[in-house]
Amino acid sequence: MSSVLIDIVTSAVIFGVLALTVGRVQTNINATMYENQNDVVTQTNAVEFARQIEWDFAKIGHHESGQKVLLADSTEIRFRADLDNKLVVNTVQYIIGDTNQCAMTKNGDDFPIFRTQDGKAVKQNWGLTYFKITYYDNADKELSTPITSAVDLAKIHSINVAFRLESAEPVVTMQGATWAAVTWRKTIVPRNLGNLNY
Amino acid sequence: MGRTALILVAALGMVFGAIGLSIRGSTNHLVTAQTGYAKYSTARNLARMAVHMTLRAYDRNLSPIPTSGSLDGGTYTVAHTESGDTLWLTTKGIYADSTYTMNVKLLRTTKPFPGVNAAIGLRATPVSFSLSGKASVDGHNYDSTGTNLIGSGDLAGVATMNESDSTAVKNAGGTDITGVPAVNVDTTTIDPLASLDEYKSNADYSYNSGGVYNNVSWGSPSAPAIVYCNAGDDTSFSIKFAGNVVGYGILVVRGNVQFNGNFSFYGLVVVDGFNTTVQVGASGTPQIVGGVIVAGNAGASVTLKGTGTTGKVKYSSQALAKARNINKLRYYSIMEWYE
Repeated sequence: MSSVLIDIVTSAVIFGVLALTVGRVQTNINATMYENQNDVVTQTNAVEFARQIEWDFAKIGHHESGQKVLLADSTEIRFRADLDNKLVVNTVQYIIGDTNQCAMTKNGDDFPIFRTQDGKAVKQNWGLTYFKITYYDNADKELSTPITSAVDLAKIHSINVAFRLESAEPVVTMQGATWAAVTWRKTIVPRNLGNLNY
Repeated sequence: MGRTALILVAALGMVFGAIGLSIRGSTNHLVTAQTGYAKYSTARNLARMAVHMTLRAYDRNLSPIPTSGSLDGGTYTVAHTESGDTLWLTTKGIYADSTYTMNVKLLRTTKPFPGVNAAIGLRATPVSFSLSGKASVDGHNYDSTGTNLIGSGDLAGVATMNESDSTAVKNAGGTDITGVPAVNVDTTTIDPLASLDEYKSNADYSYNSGGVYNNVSWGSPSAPAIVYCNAGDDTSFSIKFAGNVVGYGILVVRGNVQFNGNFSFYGLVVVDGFNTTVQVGASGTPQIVGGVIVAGNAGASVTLKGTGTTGKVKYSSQALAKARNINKLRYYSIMEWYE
């Protein structure tokens, strides 16, 4: 009888220890998964946004015989391009918003970017916390922004785009709360600008 | 007790299994996003490389132009059409499950060419010019074969940079120089020195050591070539060509070069350096059809010798136009680029 009692007590203790261990492991794993998930979302967003930028910017000036870039600033660009290669030239604009327009996220630094195509604007919340466009002439000399005159806009030879994305929610680590982040930077030479030669 | 332990272990195993699957799914998603971008970028690079490789194939007169290939673990295909100097390329880079397509319209353009407004243009001044034997110079405009006169576009036989050189050339050539006029002053003659390095580095045929070379042929009317003959500045160090020598394109001559057989060159001959002697031999019908230009080395000494009776330098705008369109010396202006 006493041996049965000992078994019951021992099994209860083992169960308790295991339950606590599993609970602790589960907590750590949850935190890691949460961090991973934020990494996944942020990096996936970065990849998608980068591809969108490349897709649009590589086409700047395509099938446009007039002014190809209409406005160039460090956080805004407006250009003409036949995006679908169907002899229909579109007007595309990228312009960033401000942090108040992303109030639904816990990240106080993120802001949306607006992509407008032929007057139709789409607000995109990628989690941008930094976005900068830099313009260079054919001697790789940086052009000061904003560039507004047609003569100066025609000097644009290459465009460097840099952005930083952060997660919408904080990631809690052993070192405290932080944000999952991805930085991307690329110089794009739109082949339809500046009478390029091969 | 034993049953309870088994149940506990089984339950724990299931919990860890579920957690493991969840983590794995999350990691897979991350890897998929990253490798997807890498594959997309590689496919794009392959499509761009295909454009470059196709243009270089045009430069090298490859026939047929390759329409597919593999590179960096991926493949590419090229579809190309052309009309005159306009070229359309559609390249497709394929890497793993990613495909990237480029549609490109290019205009093949000619680089600035050291034009010669005479059968022989002397950019060097003062120049020591000697025409001996039976060599003759004709500034009338011939067709690209040097057979028939076109009837228009006639130029001077020899163009010099100043009156003094003009007089010296008239005295040296006499009636062996003909044209409209026979000799004139033309200060617009472009100095070919700036182009020589490019010709040298792109030469299809280079002769940098003395010797006798028999029966050579350089290029063809449809695929003109660049020939660089460097016999050095020492006039005793000569390159000799014998037998049948036929060339099309651009011939750069430096030093003492002799063409002793049946020599015919169609295109531009650039005489570079000091003390250059271009000698055409006695047999056959040695001729240069196109133009000769002497680079602007001050005090250049040029001797054109004709030991036979029919050695001629004939101006031909058609032959010069063909030389100008050597593919290696052309470049491509982007008219449209869609990717």
